[in-house]
Amino acid sequence: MSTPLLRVENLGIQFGPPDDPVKAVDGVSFAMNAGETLAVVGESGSGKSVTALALTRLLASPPARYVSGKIEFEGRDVLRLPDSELRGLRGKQIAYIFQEPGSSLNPVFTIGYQIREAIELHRPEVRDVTAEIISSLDRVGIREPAKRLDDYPHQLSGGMQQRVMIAMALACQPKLLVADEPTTALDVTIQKQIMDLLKELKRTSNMAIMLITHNFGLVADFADRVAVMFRGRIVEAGATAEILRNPQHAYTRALIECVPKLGQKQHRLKVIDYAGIE
Amino acid sequence: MNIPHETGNETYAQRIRRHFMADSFARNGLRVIIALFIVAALAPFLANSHAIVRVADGRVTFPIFPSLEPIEWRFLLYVPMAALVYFLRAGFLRRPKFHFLFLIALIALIEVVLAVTHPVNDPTNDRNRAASFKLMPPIPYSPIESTPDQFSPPSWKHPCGTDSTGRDIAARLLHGARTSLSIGFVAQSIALLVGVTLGGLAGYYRGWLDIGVCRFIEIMDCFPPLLLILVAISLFESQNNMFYIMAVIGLTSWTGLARLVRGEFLRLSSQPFPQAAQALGASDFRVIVRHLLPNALGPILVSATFGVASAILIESSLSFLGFGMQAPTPSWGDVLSDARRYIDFAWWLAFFPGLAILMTIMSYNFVGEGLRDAVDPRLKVK
Repeated sequence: MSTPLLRVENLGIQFGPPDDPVKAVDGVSFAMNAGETLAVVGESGSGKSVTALALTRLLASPPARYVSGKIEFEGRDVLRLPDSELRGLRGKQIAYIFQEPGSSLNPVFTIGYQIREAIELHRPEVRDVTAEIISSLDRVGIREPAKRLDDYPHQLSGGMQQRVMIAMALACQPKLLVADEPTTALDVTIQKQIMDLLKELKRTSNMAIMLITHNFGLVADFADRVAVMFRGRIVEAGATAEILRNPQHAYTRALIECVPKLGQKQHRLKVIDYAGIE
Repeated sequence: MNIPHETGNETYAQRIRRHFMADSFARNGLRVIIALFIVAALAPFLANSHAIVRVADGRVTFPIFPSLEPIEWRFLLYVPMAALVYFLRAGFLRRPKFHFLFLIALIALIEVVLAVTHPVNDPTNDRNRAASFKLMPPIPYSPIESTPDQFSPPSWKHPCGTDSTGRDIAARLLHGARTSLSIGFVAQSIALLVGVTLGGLAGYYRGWLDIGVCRFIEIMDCFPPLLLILVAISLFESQNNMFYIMAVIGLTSWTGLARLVRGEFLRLSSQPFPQAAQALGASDFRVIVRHLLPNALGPILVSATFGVASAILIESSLSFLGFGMQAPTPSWGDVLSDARRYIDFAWWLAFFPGLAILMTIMSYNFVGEGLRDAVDPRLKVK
């Protein structure tokens, strides 16, 4: 196999005082190939978002400390990259979609302006920027994109805002899209739409997607592989179908059982029994 | 308040404008300020001992123009030029290179002419000179010219009276408006620059920089501002220079603004959008200037408006204490301080400059309050 697109080795990130640190990420290793989809699953505070942000060193340091490990993107060591090259990496090679689309867009600028900024930052060769913006909005399923250019974020619904975020991320044609809980702030029907859109993108482009979620329900028909994170470590990783069918770790089993199933009579939702895991 | 209904697609600036204009105090305050600026700009044509046009012995002369300072020439030439460029902007941009070169050449020519010519200091006045026709300014006295009638109460000849050396108060107030308004404006711009820069950096980078800036602000705030200004002024040799006074007022009154901007930046940068911009590859500078600053602009503008008012007040107090603009340059505080000794019989010496200061400060405060209400979304439901 050729060199992977992204390789993370023994990554360790800590917060707080050095003598009594909070180990947000504690020895995480994984790799992603071009075009592959990886789902990182875990509950709040398990270190999945911190891992995702660390991929382009987006965590400000301080307060965060990158204590160990290596992040290699196309052979380049992200943790030692100078700031100017890092900015070339962000957005251009690795793009992000965040959890809250409403507050991830700048409230005082039109969406057209914000997508234009992304294109002008990374693709100075584009001649007709407006046409490019319209086509990027069209690709994420926004109807009549030309009319939406001058809209402000607050004039759009949450689902539309997330589509704009995705359009913005895609506008620079990144090799890796990191979707950090892209559907958590949306209601269920919009969740479905956004996931369908991501699936469509996965099918039509050769972009690797890293989906971060706490919901095993989203993972099943989306990701090629799954990594389960618990307290800063990857406790289990493998092909999606394999893990769903035969979870090895107690925490993975607990997470899968948390998702209520249709047609199953259950009075109370299962909660994770931490004592049983440790 | 009768605010017109929201009209779907309007920009943030349009919304602020609509709410601002719906407030009659703010609207009229803004009008007063604009009127004051026009009066200040045209002061040499409103109060001058030289005639605007004089016809004598069959010759037509314009005695007012040789006495104008270079800054007045610049104003007279550049403001109409800027207006012309603004109105012809479509045609202007059709051949931008040619037109810009033409403009630069024109400006260079004007500057060269201004540099080699000096204003004529002509102490004579045209009031009593015989002429077949003359057009005098509405107030035919210069602000620094002494006349024989001292302590003249307000009359048709001297609408605001005269002072102890017979100088016309109306002329001094008209010319003093330039000093007071420009000091207020420039001093606050300096404060804005320092305050926004330091506050913005502290709020964005936090950590040691934030601690340093905050302690510095606290140390600055420990000193009575007037004392600080007096010490700073005494450090400068030339007290007559308006720019020193502007700089001193500006450099001692930025702390409140810095605090405000720091708070705004702390609030804004804890929201996800600055990080989203960073994730797109924006540099720190870009995040600060293009993403955070526009979001904090409303409160900054409000605070700056109040700041202009307080800078005018500080300048007046300085002149009143005798530390501001030195004679003969007129300023409102200076006229007021002359009134101190004669207040028991010459009420007009204190009344008119006081009224001018009051009107200006009040207008600025009305504008500031109107702006504050207009940018605050919570106060809008009325």
